[in-house]
Parts: sequence; C-alpha cells; structure tokens
Amino acid sequence: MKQALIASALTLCCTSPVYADIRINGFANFIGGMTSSDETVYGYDDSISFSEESLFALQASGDINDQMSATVQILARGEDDYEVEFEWAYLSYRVSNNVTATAGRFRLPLFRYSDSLDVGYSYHWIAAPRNVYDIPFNNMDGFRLDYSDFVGDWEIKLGAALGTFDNEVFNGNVEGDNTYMLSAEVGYEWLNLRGVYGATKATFNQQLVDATISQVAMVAPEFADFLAINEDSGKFIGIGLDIDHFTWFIKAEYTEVEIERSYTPTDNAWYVSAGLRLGKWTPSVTYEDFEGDEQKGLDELSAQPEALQPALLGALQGLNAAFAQNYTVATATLRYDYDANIAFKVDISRYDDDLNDAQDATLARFAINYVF
Amino acid sequence: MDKPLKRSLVYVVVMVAVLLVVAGYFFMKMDASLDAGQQYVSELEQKRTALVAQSDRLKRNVSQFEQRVSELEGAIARRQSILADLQGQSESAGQDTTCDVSPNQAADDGLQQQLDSTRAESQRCSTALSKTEEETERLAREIRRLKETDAALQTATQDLSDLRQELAQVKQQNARLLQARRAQSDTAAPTDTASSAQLTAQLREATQEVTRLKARVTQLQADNDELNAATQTSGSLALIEFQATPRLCDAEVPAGRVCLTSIDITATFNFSPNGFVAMTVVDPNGDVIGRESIAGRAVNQIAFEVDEATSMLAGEYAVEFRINDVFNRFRQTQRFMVSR
Repeated sequence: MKQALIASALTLCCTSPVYADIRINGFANFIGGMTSSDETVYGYDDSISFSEESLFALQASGDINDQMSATVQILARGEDDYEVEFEWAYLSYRVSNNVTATAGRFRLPLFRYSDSLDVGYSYHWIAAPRNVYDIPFNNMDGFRLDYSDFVGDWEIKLGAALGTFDNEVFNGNVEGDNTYMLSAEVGYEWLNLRGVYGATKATFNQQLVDATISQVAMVAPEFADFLAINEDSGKFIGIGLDIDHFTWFIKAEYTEVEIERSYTPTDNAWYVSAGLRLGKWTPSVTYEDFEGDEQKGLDELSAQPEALQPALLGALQGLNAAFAQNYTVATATLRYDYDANIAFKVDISRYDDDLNDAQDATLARFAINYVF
Repeated sequence: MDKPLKRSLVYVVVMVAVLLVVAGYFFMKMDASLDAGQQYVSELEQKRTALVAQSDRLKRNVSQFEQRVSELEGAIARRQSILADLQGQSESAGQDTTCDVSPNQAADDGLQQQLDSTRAESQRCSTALSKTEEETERLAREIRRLKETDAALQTATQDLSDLRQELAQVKQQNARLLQARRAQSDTAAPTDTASSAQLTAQLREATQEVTRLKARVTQLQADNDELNAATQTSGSLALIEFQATPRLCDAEVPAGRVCLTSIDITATFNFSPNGFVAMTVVDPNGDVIGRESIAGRAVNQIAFEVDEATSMLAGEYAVEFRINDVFNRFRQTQRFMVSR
C-alpha cells in the first residue's frame, strides 16, 4: 500500500504537463564521535565512529496543481549502513487559506523540531536531545490536518493526525494502530508554547520478551496478558517552551510516554537548553533528564497465587530491568556557521547513568551539517 | 600510561588530522562550486541595489522637477501681474496726451526695464526647465542602459524610449514656446498676457507629464523588482510579483487619512512554499493593522479587512512575509501607497 502511494505520488507530480516543476532539496549530517571509556553512549564507544548519526537525504517536492503538492524524502542513515529508505512520502492538499490536509507517510509534529529533526543544520545541537526526541513514532502513515491563523498578535497552529506506525526498536518491532494526535502551538514574536497529546493501540514483539511472556502464560495467563504489549493503550504527552530573542535563547521540552498495562515503565523526559548567538558562533549548554525505571506490575503480581509469585516476580523484574533507564546528560555545544548552508559543530557530553555508575561516560562529537 | 591508551590517543590524533584534511579539501571544492553561483547572485544583488538607488535618484529628481515647475508657475504669475501693471500704465500713458515728455519718457524707460527683466526671467525659467528635462532624460537613459543587461527588460526599454520621445516633444513644445515668447516680447505689452497664459498652459501640461513620468518610474521600479526576483538562483524561494490594491470608501475623513474597507493583496512566489505563510500589514506609523497565516502556494490572494468606522492613515504601508521552511526560510517586506 505504501509503495503504491509513493508511486502514485511520484506519477502525479511528474506527469502533469503544466506543473512539471520539481524542486529538490537535500541535507547531510556528517558526525563523528567517541567516548572516554569502554562504555557505549548513543552507539559510540572508545573508538571513533562516523556512522552512528551521520546521514544523507534528498527531498523532492512538486506541485500537482494549484491546491495539491507531493513530497518525497529519501534518507540514508549511517547506522543502517546507508541503506536508502523513504522517510516521507505524502500528498498535501490546500483545503483553504488556513487549512492543509496531508496523506501518506509524514512527520508527526510532536516536538519543536519535529519537521527538521534530521536536518542538523536547523538547530544548534549536533543531535536533538535523545532523551526526548528518540521515540519510535516520529513518522506515521495516515492523515494529518493542519490549521494556522492569527488571533490578535498570537500565531495559532493546530494539528490533528490519525494513522498507524511500525518501527524497529530495542531489537524488536513496535506497531501503533488507531494512533491519533492533537497538537496546539501559540507563538508571539520571541515566545513559542506548544502542547501535544497522542494515543495509540501499541503492540511490541521481541524474541526474548515474547519467550518470557509465553512461559509466564503457561502458569499465569492473566498476568501474562498484563505483561504483554498487545494492542494496549499507550499515550504521549508533550509540552514545549521556546524563548528566542535571537541574541540569546532558552528552549525546554517535557514528554511523558506510557503504556499503562505492561511491564514497560512510564518514561518522563525533559531538557533545558540555553545559548547565545554571537555572529557566526553559537555556544550553548543543554541538560537532559530521563526517568524510566518505574517498577510496574506489583499490584497485578500480588493478585497471583502466592506459590507462583517468586517465579513471576523474577520474570517481571527481568523485563523491567531490560527496559529501565534513568540518566542525565549535560552537554556543551559550539556551532560555527561557515556559510549560509554549512555549519560546523563540536560538543562534549557527560552521560551519568543513575542505575549503573559504571556506565557513566563522556562523549565528544563533531559535526558538519549541510543543507541545500 | 597504558600502551593501548597511548595507541588509542595516537589513533584519535591521526584520525582527526586526516579528517581535517579531508574536510578542508571537501569544503575547498564546495567553495569553488559555490563561488560561481554566489558571484552571480552578488552581481544581481549589486544590480538590484544600483537600480533601487537609481529609482531613489529618479524620485528625487522628479520631486525637484515638480518644485521647479511650481517655481516657474510662481514666476509666471508674477510676470502676469507685472504685465498687467505695465498694460495699465501703457493705457494710462496713451490716454494722457497733455502730460510732460519727461514723465512719459521715464515711464517708458521703466516699462522697458521691466520688459527686459521679464524676458531675462523667462529665459532663466526656460533654461531651468530645459536642464530639468535634460536631467530627466539622462536618468531615463541610465535606467534603460541598466535594463538592457537583461533580455527580459526589452519591454521596459521600449517604454523608456517612448518616454524619451515624449520628453523630446515636450522639449520641442518648450522651444516653440520660447520662440513665441521672444517674438511676443518684441511687440506691444498687451500681447504678453496671452503669451503668459499660453506658457502657463504649457507648464500645466508639463506638470501633468511629470505626474505621468513619476507613475512610469514607479512602474519601472516594480518591473525591476519582478525581474530581479525572477533571476534569483532556482533553489531559492522568491516573491516574483506583489500587488496591493486598497479598496477605498466614500466616507468623509480628516486630512491625511483615508476611508478604507480592505486591502487586497496578491503575492506570487516562484514555487509553492512549504507550510504556512505568515503575513503582517503595518501602517505608515509602524503599527500592525493586520496579520494572516495562510497555507502557502505559488499564487496567494488575501484580503485584509479594515473596520470602515475607523479611518486609516494615508501613506506608505508595508506587508511582511515570513515562512519557516527549513529549506527555504523566507522573510521579506513589500511596500505600497494608500492615498485618496
């Protein structure tokens, strides 16, 4: 279905005799980094690596008619051995002066930098804070409505999306059916506030997890049903603040991701970033916090026969531990705008793991961001 | 220090050095390829700046021209007054045949001096007018020369040529006027009144011509902006046409203000922008009178409604366009006049 959609989008945009103009943009992030110890942070270790976050992409857009346009973005990530994938492929229809409808695979406006998440040139970091931005449902297949208008001096942007997502995460596969999302954003010159709420029916499959839950199901089917993430309700809440006076800025976002009836802990993540713009130089500091080590399922466990509880507790703790994370990251970044479309960046991050001090590490990275 | 650590450090240093060399080579190559495009853009920018400066000079010259025309009108009025006085004195002298010779001679001498003065002043005015016309013609020639750098400006060049012809006609008319003026100056004083009236009519025509030229200069400036936008590099989003039409109403308003119902704006980009276009309208005082956010497309039409109960300032308004597309960030202000 997705391939058919992409094909039809390309066919429509390229065969029209009147609107044959196709615009091609692209961007590239060439990023290298290494840690100070054997511990791994964001895929980097004590050997320098250039593939963890590097990527190259092309985006093509074409007008089908005065109201409709098609956009395709193909992207090759270093971590995927630069295998080319269709990141976006959608049709946009201009419903009215203030409303746009989109169908296809598109980026959900979950965060301040969702639209340009992969375009390193668009922000001051080398990579957007992972604790907040690294979620498995940034892209979705479905429909999206966007509304924009002014109320007095305030610019209002509202968004609604409906669809599904399917991504690989934690060596497994996560699917989201009946996913919907509502977003609201208000902006006034230097101030921007945003809020997002989303919900889905989530299903997660991973070999080891499935095997463990299958064993539990043999003795405690109800508890296994609780543990399994099988079309369970999940929710996403996000709020953001952006104060940008150009010469200085402060940005902050908070997110909460929860699948209530499952072993996975509720993830609470936030960051605060502040920086200065001094001509071509943009020094900044960022502090990230991620808490996702909540012990869930104890109430459900207590409802099980006492004789089974020790064994079930072991399985529950094993699953919890496998997905528990609790860490902070402090980063200092320096960006230099070499040209109107090229930026150089270096940063150094201190990763502190609150669950295992042995995994603390310092990560140093550099980046070249290019956009055209 | 452990050997593995030393080796790692050496490895890192070597890799960083190699990377710097590779990155340097990469950007030197990229710089070279970008230079040509940037030079072209820079040349276009310089041309645009020169054209804007040229337009400003034209405006100033037209303003000066108008001022000179006004001065000429004043001079004509003064001459008419003098001629009327002279005519009165001549009639008085003709009727009084019994008066002494000496006073008549004195009056004649005074008359002669005033006539000479009038002739000299007329000559100066005509010279000033000719110089103004020459200056206007020279500026028109410069505009045409700049325009010829682009083949797409042929239409504008033709218009300029038309302007030159019309200016030449104005010059010829002025020359004829001068000749007539000289011829009439040699005859009796009463005929000067008719000549002055003719000169006044000619000046009125010249004033109308200045108004028309001014409108033409505005049109040429708009053409320049459009052509400059159209010749931007293909990758950049550009506003290639902008039109603002104030919709006026008939209500009585104080001086310096207008009764306005809406401002219809048409903005045409070289391609459809991604996302929404934020538009802000600012009045001559710099106050924001309207904001709109519209889904971007190549041709965008929007009407800024104005409360009819409130009169608006006459003068120069501005519309700011802002688009936050990561590939085509856009921020540009267009200006237009609102007057009765």
